[in-house]
Amino acid sequence: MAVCVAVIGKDNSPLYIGGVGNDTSSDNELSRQWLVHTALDALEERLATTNTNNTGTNSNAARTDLRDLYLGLLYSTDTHKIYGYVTNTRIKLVLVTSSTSPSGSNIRDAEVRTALRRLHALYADAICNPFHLPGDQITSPKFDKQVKNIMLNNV
Amino acid sequence: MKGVDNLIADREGMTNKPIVTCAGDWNLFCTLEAPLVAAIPQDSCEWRRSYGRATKSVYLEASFIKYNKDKVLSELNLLKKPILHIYWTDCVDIEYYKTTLREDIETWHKQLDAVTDWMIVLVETYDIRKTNKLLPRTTVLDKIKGDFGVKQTEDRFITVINPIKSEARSAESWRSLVAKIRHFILVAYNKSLIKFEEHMREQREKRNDPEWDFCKYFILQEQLAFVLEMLGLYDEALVQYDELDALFSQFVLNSNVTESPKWLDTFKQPVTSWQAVRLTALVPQQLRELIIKRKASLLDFRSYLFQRQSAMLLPSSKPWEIASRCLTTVHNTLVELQLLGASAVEGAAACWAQLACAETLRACERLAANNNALDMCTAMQAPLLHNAKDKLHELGKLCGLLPGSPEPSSEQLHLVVMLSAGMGDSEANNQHPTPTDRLKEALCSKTCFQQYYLELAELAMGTYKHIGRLRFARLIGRDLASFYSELGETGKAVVFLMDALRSYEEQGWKDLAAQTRLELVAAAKKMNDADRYTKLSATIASTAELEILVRNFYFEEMMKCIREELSKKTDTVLTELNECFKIVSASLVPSERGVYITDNTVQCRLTVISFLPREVRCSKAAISIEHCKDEKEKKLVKGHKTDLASGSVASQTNSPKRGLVGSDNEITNLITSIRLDDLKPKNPLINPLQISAQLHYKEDRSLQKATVECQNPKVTLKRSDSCKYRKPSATSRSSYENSFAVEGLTLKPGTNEFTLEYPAKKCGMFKLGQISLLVEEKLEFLSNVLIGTKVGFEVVTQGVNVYLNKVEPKKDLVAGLEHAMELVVTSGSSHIEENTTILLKTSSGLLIRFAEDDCAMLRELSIKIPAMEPFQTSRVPLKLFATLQPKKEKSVEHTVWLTCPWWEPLTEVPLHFYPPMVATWRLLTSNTRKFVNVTLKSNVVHLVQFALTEAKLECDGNTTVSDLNPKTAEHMVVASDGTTASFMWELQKDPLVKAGPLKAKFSVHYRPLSVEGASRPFSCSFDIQDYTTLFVIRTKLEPTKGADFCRASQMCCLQLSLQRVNETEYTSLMYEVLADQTMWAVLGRTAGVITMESNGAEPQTVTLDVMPLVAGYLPLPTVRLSKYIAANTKDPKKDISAHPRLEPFSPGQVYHAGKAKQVHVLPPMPKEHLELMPN
Repeated sequence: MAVCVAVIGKDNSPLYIGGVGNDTSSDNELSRQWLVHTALDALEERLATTNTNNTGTNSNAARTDLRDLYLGLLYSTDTHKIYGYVTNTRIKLVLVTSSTSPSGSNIRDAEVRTALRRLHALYADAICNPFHLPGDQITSPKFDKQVKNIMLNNV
Repeated sequence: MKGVDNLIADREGMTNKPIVTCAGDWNLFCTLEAPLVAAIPQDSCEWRRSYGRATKSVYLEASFIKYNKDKVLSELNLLKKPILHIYWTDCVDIEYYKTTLREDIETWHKQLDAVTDWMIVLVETYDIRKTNKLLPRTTVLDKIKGDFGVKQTEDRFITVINPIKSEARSAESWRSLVAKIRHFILVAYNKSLIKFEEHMREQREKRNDPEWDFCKYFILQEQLAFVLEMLGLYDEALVQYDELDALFSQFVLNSNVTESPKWLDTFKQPVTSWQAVRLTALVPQQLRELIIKRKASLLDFRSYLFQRQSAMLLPSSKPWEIASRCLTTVHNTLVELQLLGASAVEGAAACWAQLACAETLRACERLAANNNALDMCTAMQAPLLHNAKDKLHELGKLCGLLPGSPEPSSEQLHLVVMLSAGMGDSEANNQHPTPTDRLKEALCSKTCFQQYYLELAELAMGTYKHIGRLRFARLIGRDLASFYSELGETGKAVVFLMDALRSYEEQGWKDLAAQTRLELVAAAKKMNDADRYTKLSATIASTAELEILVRNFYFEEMMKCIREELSKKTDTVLTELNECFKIVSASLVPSERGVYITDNTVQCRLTVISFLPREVRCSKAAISIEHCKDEKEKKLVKGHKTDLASGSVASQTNSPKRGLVGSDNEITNLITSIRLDDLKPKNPLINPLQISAQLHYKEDRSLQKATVECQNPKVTLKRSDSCKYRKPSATSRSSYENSFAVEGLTLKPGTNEFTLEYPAKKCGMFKLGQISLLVEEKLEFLSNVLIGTKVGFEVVTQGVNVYLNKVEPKKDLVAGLEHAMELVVTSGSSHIEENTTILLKTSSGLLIRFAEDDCAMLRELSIKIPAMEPFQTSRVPLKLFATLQPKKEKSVEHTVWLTCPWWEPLTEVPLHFYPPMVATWRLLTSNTRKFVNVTLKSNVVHLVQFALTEAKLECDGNTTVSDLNPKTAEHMVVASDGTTASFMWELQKDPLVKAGPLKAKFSVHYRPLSVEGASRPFSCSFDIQDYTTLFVIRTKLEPTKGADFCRASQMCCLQLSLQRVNETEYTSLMYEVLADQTMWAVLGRTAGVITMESNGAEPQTVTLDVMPLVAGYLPLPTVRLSKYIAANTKDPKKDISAHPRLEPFSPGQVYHAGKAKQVHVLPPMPKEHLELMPN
């Protein structure tokens, strides 16, 4: 389903970047990192507007917005679609799908939402490790395996 | 025939109008058509719809055609189908109606059949004459109503006064007609739309039918869109197009996984045209025709759809919506193109996408200028510009227009021609060049391409920056950098890359930073910037994220560059240490002597991790040293005393303690070792949260809530510093004039530990500054300055020290004994020449001599010190003796003054002596005989023992003493462990002669038990006063008369007798019986005043009644005798007190004879005895 999944810390530094799929000249690990990196711009923009909405008059609607951690499609390119999700502690989860692959092009919003929710749960599990310092890169092989599973599972 | 030409209407798109047919009197209608057409759109009408759809206010237009009975039930074409049928007549004659008109209407009505959307309009001519008459009984309209009307259709019959003939009177009826027409049109539409939608749904349900055709369905549903557009419901029309869009997309996407339907082959046909989309409200008929004819390529279809969607958005003034849709459309189309595999000239899609973006941008600009949506637009424009730029780049690559590429080949030139042809012609008469023109132009020559590309890129970057998407801006910056780099303007490229690199590093995107470095290094190579190239190579070689092959390559590059390029330079090339090495710790090796002394080497141990992939030769490693600010004032602390008890008798150093007062703070702050990890602020997340569980109870003691509370939220919720990202400013090279250094190291990959040395020349406080690692003699890595860390050390010059020490430091100095001492001279860091003498002077009573030769003791001694090398010590043994002074003070203070040639003032060494022993004496009396008791005791802290001989007591005058001591007194010993020695003498004097004060002197010879040798004298003198016995008190206890024994609880008689034994002036005396209240009860007065006759020697007797309280041997109550001085009433001046007072006697003046006497008290008499007694 996804070609790349990234967990980005509060300070916008990457905590985990995992990708699957064969590397080609236009689609490789590095190119996906650029995508994830620029997605932060769109993500922050989205967060900023949510915040300003909150101060506005229809705070009720905004609050429901806030409660929804899934931010939807952040932006898309010819070949990829980038979806965002932000936890309450401002940990950003980014999921990249490839529009050229048959599974990626036909993906539904709900599927992405579920995948990101599962990723959030996995992240929470990984963080629960008492030997993990919050803010450090996630190196857990188990987490990596499970995330890769999410990426492939929905094919 | 009047009415509207269909062809024109189609062409103009927007001019589709509801069609209304007119039957009956066509000529009559023609007179009314013009005002009617004009009147209908003048006002809005509410459109009520079924199925609960929202009611909309709609402006209508209408076109009228002559009724044609064949067209009544035309096919389900919403646009061409007449929507309302009106029968016009101006018949007023009922007879005529009955004969002719009725038949005509009937025919018309029958033809309409099921169609209920009709009206019959009777046009009357206003006749002024008629109004005065009574209304006719029945009018033609009534007749018509009667003939054709049913209940539901009654309002479909209308009379109207002909406005042409009498305008003034007709207004009312005319308005009503127009409103009716509007109303019925809408009602008609409601009906037909419901019908149409049903039909449409039916058609859609068939979509999986192999025979189903999307194009057909598209045209069908589009009719609905057209109608909605016609009614001004653009958003609803847009929904129709969006539905079609989604349907199509789904088909295409599904075609990838399942078998594709046949109709989809239409869109697989080769793409031949990639004209720019035109964002106008007009319906692009040409494309529509293609779709109808099933000859539209995917791009044609997509263009058409996008144009229509935009057209629906144009009136709602939301240009940003168009922009955002453009991007999705472009992305989707490109994906679909790929999925369908439609063949096209390479670059066609890019061309189309570029043009679409550019056209949308142009439209946005045009629209945004009209309304205030500029900001909203800008946000959407940036991605469009980005995409346009990317597509242009793609085209440039295909056509060989990129800088740095060779001249375009003939195939590429051919491609340009093909692409330009496919774009078609741009619309004529445009002042500005259209995007099509610009793209064509750009594809024609390299310079134009460059210009267009840079324009788009700069604009995109600027717009991104404007809307705050800096990461996107930097991404474009990188593209620009590579473009400029190809152009040969590497300098510009470097600027962009550096900017990007910094941001990636700040936020920890190491892979991206590494990639950017690789680009930078290529730029540096191109620029022939050897310095930069070497530095970047070093950094890249140290980047763990990169492949080891890449790292090794750049390591070699670095070495090569150092050898070939940098070796020519005189100066070293400076670079940052942190990127290739990591300082783990720096610690100063503690000096053997505790302090760092000048001319000695100070060592520092440095642990460094090397990230370089291979070993590297470090020609020199150094740590710069910074001198701390000068101490305020160099003061010599004079007469610095050391406590004798601590062991050293005296110490005087030259400078180590100098300036201590001034720089106390600095010294305490300096640390000698540091791990750089320690400097990092502690991760607050590691700290345990101070939270606790709390249970809150309600008033009735039931649990209200349980909470987890944070006691001190300020600690936990502390703001974190933003300094995390702050990069230390470019490091400048500190001065390495004074530095720790080591040469010729090899730094292995990983941890390296080595020691650097610094020969301390000057004294003072120093801090570690910067660390420098010089690799291969030319590349110098500089760390950040460590100043803030306060790692430092103090260098001192240690001068000559002279100490006067006890040989046995644990023993106190005792006066009257010879002590072994030594003069210790340590040379410190200086040489001591031969024939240096130290002069010792002592205070009076203190004597000194060399220990070796047994010469006399002196108060002054000059000591020669042998020549000494630095850090040597020489000792001169001495003997010290403090004479005993006949004082009773507990300790004796002495001073030794040292005169040394090295420093000016005398050095004072205070010495503290204890006396060897202390004598105490007591006078003892027995009646009139007097004895003197002397006790010797030693208070020295350590154990000393003295043998005592020749104890003597000498008294002045004619008083003699008789020695009561045993003759073996030479064995007497006094020691500091508590052993005391006592001596006793009796004063031989006439007891009856009154004696004056007496001076006595006790003397004894002592010598330490441990040492054989001559004894030394110890003496103590004292005065004896008032020692003559004046009174003798005797006490006697007698049982009461009749009793033989003293018994408890029985009255006894205490007799005091006071006898004067010597002459005295005191005659008035007071006695006090001091009885122990547990043993004695004194009845009556316990005290009294008696007067002794001055000449009489008769004893005075006092009798007191006392009662023993207990049985046993009881000591007699004691009696105290005092001088009684009566109140002096006569001369108040002489004596202040008007009261009598008591004065005690000296101890020897009153002798209490019964002091130690005891009486035997029997227990109380048994009770039987008492009862028997009267018998």
